[in-house]
Amino acid sequence: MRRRPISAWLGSILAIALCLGLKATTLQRLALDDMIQGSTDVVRAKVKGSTSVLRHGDVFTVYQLSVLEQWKHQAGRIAPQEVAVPGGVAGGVRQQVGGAPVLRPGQEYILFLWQGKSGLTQLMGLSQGVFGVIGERTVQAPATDQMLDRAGHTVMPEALSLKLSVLKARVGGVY
Amino acid sequence: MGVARRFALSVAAFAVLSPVASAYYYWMFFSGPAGSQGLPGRFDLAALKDNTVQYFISDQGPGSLVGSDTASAVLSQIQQAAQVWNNVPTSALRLGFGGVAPYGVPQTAPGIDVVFDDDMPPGILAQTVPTFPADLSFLTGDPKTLPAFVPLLRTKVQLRSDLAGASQASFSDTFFLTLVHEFGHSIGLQHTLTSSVMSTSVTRATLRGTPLAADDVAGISLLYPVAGYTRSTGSMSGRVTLKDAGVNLASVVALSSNGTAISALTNPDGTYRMDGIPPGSYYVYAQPLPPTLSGAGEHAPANINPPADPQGDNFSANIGFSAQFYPGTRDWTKAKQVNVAARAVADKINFAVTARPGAAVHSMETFGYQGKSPIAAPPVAAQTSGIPIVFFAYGATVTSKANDGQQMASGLGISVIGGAAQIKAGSLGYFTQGFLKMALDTGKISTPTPVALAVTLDNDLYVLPSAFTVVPGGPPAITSITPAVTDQGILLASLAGKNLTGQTQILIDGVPAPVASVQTDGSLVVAPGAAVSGLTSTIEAVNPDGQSSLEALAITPAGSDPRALLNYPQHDPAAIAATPSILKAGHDTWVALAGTNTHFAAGNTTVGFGLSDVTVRRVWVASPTLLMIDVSAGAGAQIGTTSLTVSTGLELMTVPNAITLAAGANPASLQLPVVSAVTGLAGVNPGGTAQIATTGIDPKAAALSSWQLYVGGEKAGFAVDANGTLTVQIPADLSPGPQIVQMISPQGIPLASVLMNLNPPPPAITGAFLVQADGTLAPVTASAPAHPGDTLQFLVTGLGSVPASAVWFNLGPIADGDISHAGINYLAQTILPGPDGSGAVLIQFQLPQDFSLDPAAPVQLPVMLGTGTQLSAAFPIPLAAVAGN
Repeated sequence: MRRRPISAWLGSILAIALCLGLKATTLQRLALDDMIQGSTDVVRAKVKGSTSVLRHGDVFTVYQLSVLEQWKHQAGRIAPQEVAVPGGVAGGVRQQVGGAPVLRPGQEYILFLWQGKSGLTQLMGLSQGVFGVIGERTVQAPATDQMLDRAGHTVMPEALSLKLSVLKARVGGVY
Repeated sequence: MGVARRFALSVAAFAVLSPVASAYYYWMFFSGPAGSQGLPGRFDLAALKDNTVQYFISDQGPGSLVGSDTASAVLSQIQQAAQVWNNVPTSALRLGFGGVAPYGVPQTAPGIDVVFDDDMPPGILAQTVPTFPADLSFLTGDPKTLPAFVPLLRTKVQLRSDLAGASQASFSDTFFLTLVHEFGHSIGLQHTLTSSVMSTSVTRATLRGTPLAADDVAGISLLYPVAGYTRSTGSMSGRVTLKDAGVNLASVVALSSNGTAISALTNPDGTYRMDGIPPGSYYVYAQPLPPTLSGAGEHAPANINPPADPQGDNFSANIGFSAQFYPGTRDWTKAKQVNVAARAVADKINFAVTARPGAAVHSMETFGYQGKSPIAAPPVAAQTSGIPIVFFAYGATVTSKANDGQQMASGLGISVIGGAAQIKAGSLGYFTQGFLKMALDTGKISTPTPVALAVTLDNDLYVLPSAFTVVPGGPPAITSITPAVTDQGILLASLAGKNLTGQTQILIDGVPAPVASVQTDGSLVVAPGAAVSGLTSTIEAVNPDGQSSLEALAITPAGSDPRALLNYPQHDPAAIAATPSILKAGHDTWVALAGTNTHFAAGNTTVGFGLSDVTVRRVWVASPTLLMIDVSAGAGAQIGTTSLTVSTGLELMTVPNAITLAAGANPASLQLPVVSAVTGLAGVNPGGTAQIATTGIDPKAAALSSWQLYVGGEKAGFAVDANGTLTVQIPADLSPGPQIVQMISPQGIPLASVLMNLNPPPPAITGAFLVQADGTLAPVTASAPAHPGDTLQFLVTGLGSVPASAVWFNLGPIADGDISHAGINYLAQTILPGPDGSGAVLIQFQLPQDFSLDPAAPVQLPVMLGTGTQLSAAFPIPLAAVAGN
């Protein structure tokens, strides 16, 4: 039977803490600053309704937005009036995407938006890009799947709750 | 009718009627409110050729890659990940590589598209999107006429084009297991909570060498069962209630002390049924899904899409209860084990759970280490003391101390379920940064043993299957590679390292390389096989215990690269051409593929045409530069051009627009496959009788009298039935291998010809022996008959060189009737050398238990041995009921 010296034991587990093992995931944890910098738009908006569209074989649920404030935008570009979330029913097919958020009509949100080369405006990191507005606070629902940071380290998602004014200032400060 | 026979018939009826709805967890659709019937979403095997769903890799390949990674390696690992699901013998579904092709071409047959697309917002690394029919109104029809499933039309596995991220290197086990996971989604599996490959990445604990856990195997096998699958496994059923109301989406897990975990999620009314359980004794527990912290965006616990009703509305999960073992305890040592027998249901395994606002502990991750490299859900060596494990769990496992530090929560308890390991007394405590630590003492094990942990805190329970796996020894390592080229121009590589044996599997960019020899110094000589010119590939060693030489790679410090690399020699570019290059929609035909500088190899070369409406039915390797293939072009195939992809190991060629699909003008055609009239298999003995289905041919004998049929250039006599199926007498003097079948109309117009396979002489069973308790063999005779459940060895001649996994047994009908073993392939266990100099082998096989035998009248059981398209003649053995039954 092999016995490991206790000193080696402690030294090794310290190494673990400094360099956590990676596991497969479909989500990459985005820090708030990452979302601010990586997004093309950040808006405070109320959801008016939704429709589903079939786009190159992919179904998206497109939420129409009533934009109340635009906290970040690209020069010369008006605020997006809709955001597409993967999944839905259109064109005779039904697609389901795990982790895709459902936005409630009439609900107010802070949305971190991203427009890719296709021109479609989507949410940063699915649910990560959605902050619900509850009174004067915003609350983000974290993903339940494990996420990785940019260095590939395990990140434990936590609920992020901020005052609206603080989040707005944070966006303005980074942006 | 005897008691035993009545029992046998009742369980047979159960086997036929048993639903798969709530076993494991699938994309579920319910016909109405809670209590209604649930249907899983899956591919319709009837819509597929040869039970094979094709997957296609986008021609817009990966862009940025990690360091010296290659696109070739990425594509290779994708193919190997798909192959993992093909290795489940109890699943009827097969995944076939359909080639490299553009994404988005309209197609009618189901398929899987693997795309590399960065048009995903930051924060998403990969996603799999299943497509079902929009119209689910059929779910509200007569329950008696509901279909068995909701058809899965197509799935898309979307990877990023930019694979330069830390966990995206093709050579990491992490990337490979992610691909296996995504392919699992693509064929109908959702997440499970048993640390299997279909678990979320938080708790996934399978290894490169053993990528699937028992729950994965049960999940896919129940969704696409081969004949007889449910006869070898048992079931469990019950209900999870909270104040008498059903609990939706509770995770119910059967956990054996040897680490096997099988699971189900409850239906909206709280009922569950868990099928596919290997016979044995199990602890059973009910546990909530990990909580979703409420907020604005809604997404499901454990990222499981909840079941939907016909309107598409979901039944959301109830996660507000405390976990418990059956029967109603949080202490696993006080839990009652439930015995599960084959073809029987252990019912009324119920749980009356109590409410709590959310799990006290959930989503636990454990880490061990190799050297300084931490490994999640680690393999730990047997018979070792003080193995350090650190872990993190969501929930209140850590509390703050007054001096601004942290400490382990008071009352937190952890225990090991089963006897493979113990937590060292006094070792459990706080570590750092929210992590806790403990040390393990491991015992002696005979096979790798996954070990579950039970965590108790605040009157709650959390169970983590496969928190770690006790293994016999350390992982393999490759320390040097010495390539050499033989006089015949064959590349060989000598590998030196640690823990390398003749059972070690060597993978080169994921492709298995056969071990040619084991040297006296322990090094292995392998034959790497074909690759594109000048490729640099990663060599990985994988041992039977699942451990690999690269399992610690994902967290290797930046800047170091511990991979063993092989540089393939330069050679002239390969090319390929098809004859004919025109396929007609709705017709089957054969095509010759001539290669230049190619290395086609039997069993290792695949061909695809980039369309799920065009299916390669069979590939014959005539030489390293010539393939002969049978192809079916579906009637719905889109007219135009398509690509041709040929893959041999790491030699992958795609020729865009190589094939033209044209409208089929002639309605008459021969339909693949050509099968034996005796065995039903797609191979016929010379001189035997074949059956060929046709379309567009008037089956009236008079109308056919002027048609001519040729096999291998020789005229063959034939008859036709009312369905247009030809029964063909195959000439006896033809050679084994592919032979061309051609039919010519009275007007001299030939139909598209196809290939049929002529078998070599089939293997023959020449003796049967009982394996006795001491391992010796005793002939099976009338005075010493075999009994149900006996382990037998059959002496077989003429089998050739095939692995045991490619050999099966069929059991013929018994004279006084049985419960029908027809159509069931019972796999061989091992192939052993036969008597010296005989050329024969001994093949071991365990008789099933489920025979309906009259104890007073032994019977003759016909036993046939099959491999490939060959089936031996029946060899009858005396079979008697076990005394007392």
